[in-house]
Amino acid sequence: MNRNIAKLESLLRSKGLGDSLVSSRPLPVERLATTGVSELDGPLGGGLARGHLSEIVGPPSSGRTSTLLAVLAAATDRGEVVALVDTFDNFDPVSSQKAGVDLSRLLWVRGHQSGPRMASHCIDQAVKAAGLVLQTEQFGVVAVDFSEAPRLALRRLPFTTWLRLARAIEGSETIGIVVGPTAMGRSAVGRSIVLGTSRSTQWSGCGTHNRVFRGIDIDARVESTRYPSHPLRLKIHDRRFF
Amino acid sequence: MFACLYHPPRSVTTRPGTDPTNRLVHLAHEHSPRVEVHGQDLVVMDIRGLRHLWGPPREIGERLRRVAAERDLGIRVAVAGTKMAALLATQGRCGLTIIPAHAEAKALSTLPLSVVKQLSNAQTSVPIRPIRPRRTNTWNTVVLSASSSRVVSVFMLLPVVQRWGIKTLGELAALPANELFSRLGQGGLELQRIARGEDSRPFVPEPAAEWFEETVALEWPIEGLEPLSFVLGRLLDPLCAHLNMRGVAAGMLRVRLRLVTRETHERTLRFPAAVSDPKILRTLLLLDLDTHPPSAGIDRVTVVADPVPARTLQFSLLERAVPSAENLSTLLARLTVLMGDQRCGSPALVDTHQPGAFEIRPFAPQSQPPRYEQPRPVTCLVPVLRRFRHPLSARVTVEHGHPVRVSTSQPHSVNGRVVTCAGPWRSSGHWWMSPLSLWDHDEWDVELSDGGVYLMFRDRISNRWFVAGLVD
Repeated sequence: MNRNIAKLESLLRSKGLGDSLVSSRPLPVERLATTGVSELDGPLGGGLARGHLSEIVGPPSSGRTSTLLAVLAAATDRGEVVALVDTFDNFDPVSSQKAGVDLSRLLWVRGHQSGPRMASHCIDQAVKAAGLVLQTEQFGVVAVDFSEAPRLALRRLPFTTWLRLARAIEGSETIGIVVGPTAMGRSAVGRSIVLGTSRSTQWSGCGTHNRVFRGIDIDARVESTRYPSHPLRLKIHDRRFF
Repeated sequence: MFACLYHPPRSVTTRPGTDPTNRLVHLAHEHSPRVEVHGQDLVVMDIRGLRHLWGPPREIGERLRRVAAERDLGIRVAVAGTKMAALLATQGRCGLTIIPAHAEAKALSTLPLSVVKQLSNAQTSVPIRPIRPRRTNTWNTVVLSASSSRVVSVFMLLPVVQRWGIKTLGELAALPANELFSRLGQGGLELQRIARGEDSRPFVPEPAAEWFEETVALEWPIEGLEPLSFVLGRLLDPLCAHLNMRGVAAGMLRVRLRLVTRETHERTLRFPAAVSDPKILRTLLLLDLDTHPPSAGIDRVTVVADPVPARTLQFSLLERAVPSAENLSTLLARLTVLMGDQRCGSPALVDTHQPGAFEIRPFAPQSQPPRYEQPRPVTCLVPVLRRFRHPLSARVTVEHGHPVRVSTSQPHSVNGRVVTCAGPWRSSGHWWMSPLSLWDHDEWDVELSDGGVYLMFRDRISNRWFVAGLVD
């Protein structure tokens, strides 16, 4: 049986359809890009896959934006050009520069802060903008941030949306990342970084006047179709305290 | 016949701060389409065929001097059958000099040899700068002509000839050519031709100023972008072919639509990089007209390109390629149509302590080597802020001076009991500017029972609470 599966896989690969296979055959190193976070790169098998759509998922204050900015910073360090489709205009340039992102190499596509009635419209706009950016295939990382989107509005999106986005970058050097409160859609080789399964905030000092927010320790896991779920613990700490 | 215009450098009539070169060239172009620039203050123009327009050579010369004088330009003018005779005459004589045809050698014979040196100096009086004629979207560059009548090469022979006792051009012209050649070689003969006022190279006029414009008058008015795209295609194809033929590209494109209401709808597109691809130009024009449509049917379409030198690229094996300027222009135009003006670009920080201050710059990444071979391994992530661009108004219960409960209305439901908080940290600024830009906040870091950590502030002016962002 295994031999037949191996034959079938080799046949699909010879026809150029190998990207959709979900066997545990590791990707070549040149098709992976490090996230810049050593604790994440291990479970990811070396980094995020190029030419595939991955996702970062979690509730508020679970480190979604920190993880995303670490990936963007690593990409700009490599000399790549990156793009961020900011659906609800929540991106903070000051924080991103502190995270190490080279702002001159970042294309920021700003959506609009909106209420729940207009959320679907903003999400549609962001999906269209992401499609335009992904089609150029000239960005190292293209991220779409749906973190503040209502779950219901995301669920209303047809599943073909994610297939279309994944198809737009298939075979290219671009890493597609979707950030949101819930799992949305990733391509066959893409990974899901699920953050905030449990978390604890860190404060220092006593009394409200002396207390300082230090960071958050987060339990997370990396999910993919190829590999078993891998738990890990991430520390999101302010560098001033180290 | 040729007319030479020479503007002596020490002329007292030149107004300070003006550029005589451009004015001299403009003056020549106003009278003849064929102009050869020899130096900063020296221009030769072909005046053949101008008799019926301006009269005989003397009247042409007088007219040139009169017009120049009206423009505070004191020039010498010489009209002769050869360029060289006209050039030498302007160096040796003031005012207007008319040399009849075939009498150049005789007319120049009395001039001293030093005029050759003066001509050499005048021809080497660089720099010559690019000029833009009065029609601002024409492309024209004054380049020192590859010069036909350069005397620089033979200038080195002048001291030798002077040591022989030769003092005038006539004496040099009268020397036996074979003897001169045996002593000075080809340079000697060249010098003698100069002394006789003979041209050794043809007149090479600078290329005429070009106008990159295409127009089409429509038999029936058109409405909507779809029919317009076909018309634009018809206009842009020959326009881009013309640009490519001249080795230039469009740095700016202006489209003028004459409407049936007799109004003119004009749009100007400035590109981050020069573009000469008709498909890209058409896409960019249509995207712009999609956001700024004409108010009525279109009667006439005119497209004008402002040419700039075409872009040359040297790709590197070691640096990552950045998106090409053409693709980037199209992408940004499409995104602007989709998201609105000032909604896409590169963020940049501004020099202020005002929370959330930033500016958007045009996205134009430059190719650069990676900062590190491998990105720095980050052992821990950095807490970052997700900023609510318009801070959310919050209802906050305060006990003993610090918040204990927070709730907001839609869209972002931030509700919960305060588990931990830190603050307040006072932040204020812009009190020296208008009251509208003043801020005066007491900031708090707050962890709520829903697990979220928020940055909140109390506006000390209105005594209201707001949620500024989420630590994520």
